[in-house]
Amino acid sequence: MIEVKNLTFSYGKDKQVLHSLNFVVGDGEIFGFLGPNGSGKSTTQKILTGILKGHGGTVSLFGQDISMVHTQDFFQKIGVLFEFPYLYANLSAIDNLKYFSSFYPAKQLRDIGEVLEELEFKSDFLKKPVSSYSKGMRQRVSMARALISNPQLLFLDEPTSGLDPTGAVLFRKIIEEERRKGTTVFLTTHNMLDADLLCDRVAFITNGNIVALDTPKRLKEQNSKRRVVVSYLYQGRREEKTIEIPELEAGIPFLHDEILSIHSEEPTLEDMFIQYTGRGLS
Amino acid sequence: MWKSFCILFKKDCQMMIAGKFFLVAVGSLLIYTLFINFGYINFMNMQLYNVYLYDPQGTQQEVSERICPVSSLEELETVLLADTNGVGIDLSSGTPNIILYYGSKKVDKHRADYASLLLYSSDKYTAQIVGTNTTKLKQQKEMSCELLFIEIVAVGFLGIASVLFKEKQMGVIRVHAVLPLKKSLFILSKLAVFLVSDLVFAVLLTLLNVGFFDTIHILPAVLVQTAILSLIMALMGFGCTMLLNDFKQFSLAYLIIALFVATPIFLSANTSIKMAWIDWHPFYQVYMGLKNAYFGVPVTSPVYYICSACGIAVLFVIVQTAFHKEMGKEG
Amino acid sequence: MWGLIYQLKSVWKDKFCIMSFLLPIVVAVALNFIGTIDLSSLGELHFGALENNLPTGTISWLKQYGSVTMYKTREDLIASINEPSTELIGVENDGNGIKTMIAGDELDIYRQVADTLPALYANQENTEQINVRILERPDILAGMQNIFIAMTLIAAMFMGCTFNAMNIISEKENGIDLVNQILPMTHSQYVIQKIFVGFVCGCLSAVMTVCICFRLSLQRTLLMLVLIILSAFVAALIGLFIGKFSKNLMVGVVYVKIVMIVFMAVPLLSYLLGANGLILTLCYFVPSNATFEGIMNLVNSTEPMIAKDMLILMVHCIVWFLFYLSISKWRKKNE
Repeated sequence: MIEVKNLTFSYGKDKQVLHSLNFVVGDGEIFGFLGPNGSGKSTTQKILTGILKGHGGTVSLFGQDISMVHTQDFFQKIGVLFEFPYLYANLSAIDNLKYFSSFYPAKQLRDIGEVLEELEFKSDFLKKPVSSYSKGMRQRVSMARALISNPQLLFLDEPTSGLDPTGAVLFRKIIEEERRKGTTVFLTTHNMLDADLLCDRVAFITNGNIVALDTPKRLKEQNSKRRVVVSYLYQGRREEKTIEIPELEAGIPFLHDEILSIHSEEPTLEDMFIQYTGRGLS
Repeated sequence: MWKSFCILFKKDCQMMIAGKFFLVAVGSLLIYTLFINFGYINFMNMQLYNVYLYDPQGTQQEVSERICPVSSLEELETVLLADTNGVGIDLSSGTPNIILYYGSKKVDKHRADYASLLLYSSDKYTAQIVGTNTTKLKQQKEMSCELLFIEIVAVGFLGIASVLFKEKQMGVIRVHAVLPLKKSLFILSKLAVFLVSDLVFAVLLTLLNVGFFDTIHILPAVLVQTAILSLIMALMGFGCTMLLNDFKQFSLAYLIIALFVATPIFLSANTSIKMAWIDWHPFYQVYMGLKNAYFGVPVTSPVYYICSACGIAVLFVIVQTAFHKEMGKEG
Repeated sequence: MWGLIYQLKSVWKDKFCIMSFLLPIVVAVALNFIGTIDLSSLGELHFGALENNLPTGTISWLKQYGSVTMYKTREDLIASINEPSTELIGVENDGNGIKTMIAGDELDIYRQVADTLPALYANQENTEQINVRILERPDILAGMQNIFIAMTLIAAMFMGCTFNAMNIISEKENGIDLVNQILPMTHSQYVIQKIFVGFVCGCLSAVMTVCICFRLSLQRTLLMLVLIILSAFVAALIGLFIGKFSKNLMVGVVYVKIVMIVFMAVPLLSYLLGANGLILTLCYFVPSNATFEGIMNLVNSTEPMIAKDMLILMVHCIVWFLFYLSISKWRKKNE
């Protein structure tokens, strides 16, 4: 679906923000782009969506070079959720969605009511102006705008930003549903929980360079300490011991009355990111 | 493409209605019409200097009807103090002594000679009229032209900028970057809305103030000039919105444009004060084009139209570039 | 006290406020420069004649009354006569006399001049023998210049309105308004802070404009200072109102512009049209009317009497201040 080779980009002469990026996103994949602020995530997304021009290297979307592809047909196939909910404040959710959806062929569109219901949008706010909505409600309407045209390729920038935990869970469910339908998702975020739970593969980007690219599981496994922490009861006392995995294969190598829990010391994605880049996600 | 244009046009009209732009335009039209027909025409008249005669000895057998006799020297001083443009003639000594307050050297010479002429001559001569307008029609056309110019340059310019700043603030310009429509349609639909509203305004203003039959002859030329001015101002407003950060900065730019650009134009076009460089002022040429259209002398020079078209094209390219830059900005 | 310094710093860093502050000063400098330009041609008569048509003596005679422009062809002459921006009177030879041509859309004064010109030419020997006594009156154009300067001064004094309004609206837009509500700052402290900023900036702008435009005696300078202080205070208060009632920046800018237009148009029209009686009383509801009157009195009169204007401004200061406090209290109660 997306193929990027030696992608470079500069804002002006002295400010190169992307240094030779290389990655491929397959059809129906959720691809995560993780990085702190200023790392080049948004720039990459803007280049892929055709908002920014003048890049170096080659970028292909839908099997075609990007310079050939940013036509109306291309925009009919993609949906974009921006970092901030950009909506007409004086119009209602329905009017905003009707307006934005009117640019797409009617046969391609989903029912507005259905999409908003799926996003658990409060029905009594449907006809009220967006200026009266909370941040979470605006984010739901923005997501609806991205989904309304049944896109083949979905660009999501911080989709769960500003949502409460219930909202975040809902959004993840919807993104999973999109993947099941065969939609390719390009997710830019610095929320490691989203990336961990959703992405098939993640790329770590920092200072315009991709420093790691693999599935979250493999990244964690590769950098795992291969140790477990065992909590147990022995002679009425609660104790903890750390043992290496090879040791564990032969059985629990110490006396115990009852095993309470076994935790693997697996690193989080954030730990991985710090390890690869030397700095945190925020 | 046509469908997308119609959708954008409809949305822009809705935004203008929500922003009460059309209401302001109708209000302006009403105020201008009242001002022209009940204010300006009545206010803008000047008679030749009043002449007051103090002739205690009755030396003048026949006094011209343009002379106002006074009964004493004190009365003469009083009326001259109240009417400092007037001219007094004191015949108390037998020979005429002209008394007047200083105006300017040449005007005072005329005033004095005119006053003394009234003592000697009651000639009724009428100058030959070589034009076709009456004073009232000229004033109506003049003021309609000026108010139309002000409306487009000041009010329309502000209108397009306020609509665009709202959209810029809401961030929806960035959303249009990823919609399946030609990006230039966004600009074209805005231009179309303001062009149509300015043309309708021009038609109504001219009809209401110049009269139906006089309007019919001048309307096509007036509409052409209105279209040129409207497109230029709409593009400038669009460009300013894209290039400036917020409405505060824009309102300052707007004040500078309105004050320093419009003032030399009005001075040069309506008085005998003509600055040497005024012919190079693009707005002056457009204003004169509009004024000449109102007075039935439309611009026929192809250079003017070519320059206008080139100017509009250059502005469009600048606006398009700024618009694309704006679409790529962070929220 | 330290809060005031940061308020001033915030205004100082705002380009809009700086430009608003400088604009009246720039206009004042420009007006001073224009004062050196000879504008006397504005009131003159303008004649047009054909080349080789009028005798030299006739042309010299016409030049006594105004400027004379020569045209090559009759068509050019008629086109210039019909040109709407000029009031050109065409003059042609008519045997021993002259005849005149006009467009027909001139003001009555020019039509009457054209009608009487041939008779004036015929009787020029009689008119040469008359005695003329010219009485002194102030240069009309200098008077116009003083009006423009007074308007600029009013704009400068009322800059405080702009500063305060923009300051408060910016705070609203940046969310600082919310932060102010949870600070241990009393309402009167807030009001004093805000008024001080607008008041100081408005006074400064006006004082600099006065220094550029006028050369006044010490007594008149002190009276002018009192006028400036009172007017700037009223303006600062009005800025508070605009800031309070504006939803956002755009609305605020529109309100500021409306207030500026009213402040400038009312005194100007009242002065030019010679308003008196009830109309003048109504005009005093606009604070700048008293200011304008005071300035014109100080500049033009030999014995300036501005006590009435100062009293009116003081009343405005008290009334607007009390009105603002009551509105603030009422709003707080109802929130």
